[in-house]
Amino acid sequence: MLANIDEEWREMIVKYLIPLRHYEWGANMNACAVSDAGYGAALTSAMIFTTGDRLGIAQILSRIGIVLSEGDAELLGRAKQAWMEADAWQGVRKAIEDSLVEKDWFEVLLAQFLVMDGMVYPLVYKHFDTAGQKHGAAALSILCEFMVDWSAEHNRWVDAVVKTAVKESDENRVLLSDWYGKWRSIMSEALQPQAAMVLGDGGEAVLNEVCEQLDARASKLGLTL
Amino acid sequence: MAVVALKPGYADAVEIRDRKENFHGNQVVYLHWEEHLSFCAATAFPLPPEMPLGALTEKLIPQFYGMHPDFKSLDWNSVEWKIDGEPATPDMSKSLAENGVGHKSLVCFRTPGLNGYKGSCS
Amino acid sequence: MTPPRKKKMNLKQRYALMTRGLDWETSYQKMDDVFPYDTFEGIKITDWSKWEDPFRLTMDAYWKYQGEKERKLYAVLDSFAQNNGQQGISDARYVNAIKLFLTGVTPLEYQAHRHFAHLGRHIRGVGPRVAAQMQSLDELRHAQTQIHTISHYNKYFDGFAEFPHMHDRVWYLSVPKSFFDDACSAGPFEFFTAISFAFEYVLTNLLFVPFMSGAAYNGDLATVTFGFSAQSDEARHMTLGIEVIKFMLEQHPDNLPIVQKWVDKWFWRGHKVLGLVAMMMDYMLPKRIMSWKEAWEIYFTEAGGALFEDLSRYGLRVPKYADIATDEAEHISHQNWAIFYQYTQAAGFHTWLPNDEELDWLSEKCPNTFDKYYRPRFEMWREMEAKGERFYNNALPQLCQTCQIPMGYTEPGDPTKIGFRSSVYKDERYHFCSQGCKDIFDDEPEKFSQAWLLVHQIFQGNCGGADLSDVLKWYHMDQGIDNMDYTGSPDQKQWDAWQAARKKVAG
Repeated sequence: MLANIDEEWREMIVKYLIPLRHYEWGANMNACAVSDAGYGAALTSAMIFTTGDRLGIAQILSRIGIVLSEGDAELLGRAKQAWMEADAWQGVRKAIEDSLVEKDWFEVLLAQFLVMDGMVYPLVYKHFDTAGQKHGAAALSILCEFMVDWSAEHNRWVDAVVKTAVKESDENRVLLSDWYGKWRSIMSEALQPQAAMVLGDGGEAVLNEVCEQLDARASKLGLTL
Repeated sequence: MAVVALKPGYADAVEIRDRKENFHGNQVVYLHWEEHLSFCAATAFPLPPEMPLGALTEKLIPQFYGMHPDFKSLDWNSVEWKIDGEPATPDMSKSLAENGVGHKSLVCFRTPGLNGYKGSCS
Repeated sequence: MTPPRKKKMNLKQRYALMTRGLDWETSYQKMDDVFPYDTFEGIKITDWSKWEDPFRLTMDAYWKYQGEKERKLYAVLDSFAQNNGQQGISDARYVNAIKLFLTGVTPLEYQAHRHFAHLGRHIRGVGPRVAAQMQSLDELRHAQTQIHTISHYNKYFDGFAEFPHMHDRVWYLSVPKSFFDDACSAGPFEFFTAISFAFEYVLTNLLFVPFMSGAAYNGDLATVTFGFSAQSDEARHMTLGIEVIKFMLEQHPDNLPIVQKWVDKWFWRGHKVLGLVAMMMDYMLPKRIMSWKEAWEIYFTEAGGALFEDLSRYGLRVPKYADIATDEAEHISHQNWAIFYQYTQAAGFHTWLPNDEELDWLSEKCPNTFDKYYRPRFEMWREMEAKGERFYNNALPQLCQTCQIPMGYTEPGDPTKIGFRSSVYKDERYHFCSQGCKDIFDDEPEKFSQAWLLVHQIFQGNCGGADLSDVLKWYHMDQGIDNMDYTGSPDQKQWDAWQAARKKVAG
C-alpha cells in the first residue's frame, strides 16, 4: 500500500512522521496527568479517554513505521534515534519533557492540547501530508485519517474547556494568556527546523500560517495575545 | 513504626482531627453494657468533663439502654465498673474528670446475674 | 541481488514496540522529576525491563472489544426496561442489595479510575504504566455502566437517587470510602498491593461473585449483564495484581518485608469492608446463593491458600490474622446485620428481621454460632416488634479509628465480649474493633489520627445538626422513605401493588 511512495519521501517520513510516536506518548502522559490531578469529571473523565486515544495514535504511527520497514523494527529504531538526537527534534522533545514536570495541571492541558497539538497536527497532517502527495504518499493520508478526524473532534472539547476557564474571571484570562504566549513561543521556535526539513524554503511561511491560525483560534476563545 | 511520607515534615504537620478542643467544651465518652450485645457496639456521647458521673446512671443509661428487657431488674449497687479497661469504683457525686474519665474514655458496666436475653449475652 | 527476507517479529516483540518502545530516557529533565512518586516508599526496582506483560492489548483492540461489549450490554438494558424487568425480580427486598452496591461499590470504581490514572502517569516502568492506564479506563467504564444499569431501578425504588452525595457522608459508606482514601493517599506500590493484589486478586471473588450470582438468583438480569461485561476486564486486573507482587519480590530482597506488611494490612482492611458483602449474602438476598462462610471457604481458604503457597517461594506468607478472619466468617454477617437493624433509622436501605425459614437456613449454615449467639438476638427483637416496641439504638455507636465500622466485633474465641482495643498516640486515645485494625493504626498513627469519623463529626457540629433529622437532611435521606424497615416502606407498597395487579391479570 505504501509501495508507491518515492524512496526519497520514505526517508522523509521516517524523519518527520515516525518520531511523532514519541510525541504522542508524551501527550498520552500529559492527558493521564490531567486525568489524575484535574478537578471535575467533565475534565478528568474526558482526559482518560484521551490518554487511550493518544496511545492508540502512537501505535498507529508505530505500525506505519513497521510497514515501511517491511515488518521489522529498524525504522522505528532510526526514528527514535532522531527523536533523541537529531537537531530537528530537540526543541519539540524539550518542550514535551518540560511539560512533563509542570505541576499545574491546567497549564499542562493548555500547553499540550491547545498549543502543541494546535501546531503539530495542522503542520504534520495537513501541510506535510499535502507535500507528500507529489511523492506518491496518497496512501499515507488514508493511514493518518484517524488523526485528522480525531483532532477535529478533540479540538472542540479543548476549545470549550479553555473558553469556559477564560470566561470564569479576569485573573484566569490573564494567567491563561500568559501560558499561551509562553508555549506558543516555545513551540513556534521548536517546529522551525521541522518545517524547513520537510518543506524547505516554504517552511517558514507555512509555519507562520499555522501560528496565525492558532492565534485566531486562541483569540476566539478569549485569550489575549 | 512511623509513616513513610513523600512530603518532608509530614508527621509533624498532622492535624489530629478529634482533639478534645474540637468538641466545644465537651469530651467524648463511650459507654458499654457488657454481655448485652443486642446493643451492637459501645455508644458515644459528648459530655462536659465536669458532669457528675451519677448522671450516667440517672439519665443517660436509662434513656439509651432502658428498652432492654434486663434493664428493669438492674441493681446499681451490684454493678461492676471499668474505666479504660481498669476495674473502678466510681464516686457518683464526683465529676467524670475526677473519676478519671477523660476524652475518649471507655466506661464499661457489667451487671452480674443479668447477662442478656435468656442468658445469651444479647 | 534481492536483500535477504526480513525476519518477522513475534507478538511479544511487536507489543513491546507498541508500548515500551515509545518511551525514552528523558534528558532535558531528570527522570526522577518526571516520575517523582515511585521511589519514596522504599520499593527497589533495579530493572524495569524485566517486567513481563501479563496481557498484550493494543488500543485499537481495546476500543473494539469494549465497544462490542457495551453495545450488547445496552441492548440487554433496553430490553430489561421495555419488559419491566424490575417487576420480575424475586422480591423487592432484593433491591436493597443493589442500593448497597450503588452507594458503596460504584463510587469505588470511580475512585479506582482516578487513582489508576495516577499510576498510569507516574509509574516509571512502561508495562505496568500502560496496564494502569487501561485499568483506569476500565474502572471509569464500569462506574458508568453500573450507574446506567442501576438508574433503571432508581425510577421505581427509593434510596438510589443521592448515591454520590451519600457516599461522601453516610456512616457506613465511610467504610468503603475510607478504605479507598487510604489506598489513594498511599504511594503507588502500596496502591498496587492494596487494590490490584489484595482486593482485585485475593478478595475480588468475594465481592463480585456474591453480587452477580445474587443478581442471577434473584432475577436481576440487568445487573448480571454488567457483571459479565466487566468480567474480561477483571481478569486483566487480577493478572496485573499478581504480576506486580511477583515483580516487586523478584526485583530486590529488601522489598519483601515492605510488601508483606502491605499484604497484611490490606487483607485485613479488605476483610472488614467485605463484611458488608457478607451481610448482603446472608441476610439481604430473598433467594440465597451460598452463605458467606461457604464463600469464604471456597474463595479465601482454598483459593487463597493455594495462592499463598505459590507465593511462599518468594518468602511471602499468608496474611497476618487470616485465621481470625476465617473464624469471623461465621460471625461477621450476623454482627453487621444487627448493626443495620438497630440503626435502620440512619440507613439508606431497608432492613428486616429474618423469617423462620431464614433463621433455620442461618442455623444450618453457621452451626457453631448462630443458635447460640445470634438467633436469641433476633428472637428478642422479634418479640419486641410484636409488642410494638421495635428495638432502635438511639445513641451513636463507637467507631473503629481504622475501618470506621461501629465497634461491634467480638473477641476472637469469645463471641460474648466486644473485642475492644486501644492505643495512645501523642496523648490522644484511639479505639479499634480488632487487633488487625490496631496494628494498622500503630504502624502509621500519623495517617489514621486524621480519620474522619462521622460520630465525632456530628459532635463537632459538622453534619447539619445534632438531631437525627438534621443529619438525615445532611445525608440527603428522606425520613420514612429511604430509611427504616422494609415493612411499611413505599418500596413495599409499590411492590405489593405490582403483585396484586399481576394476580388480577392472571385471574
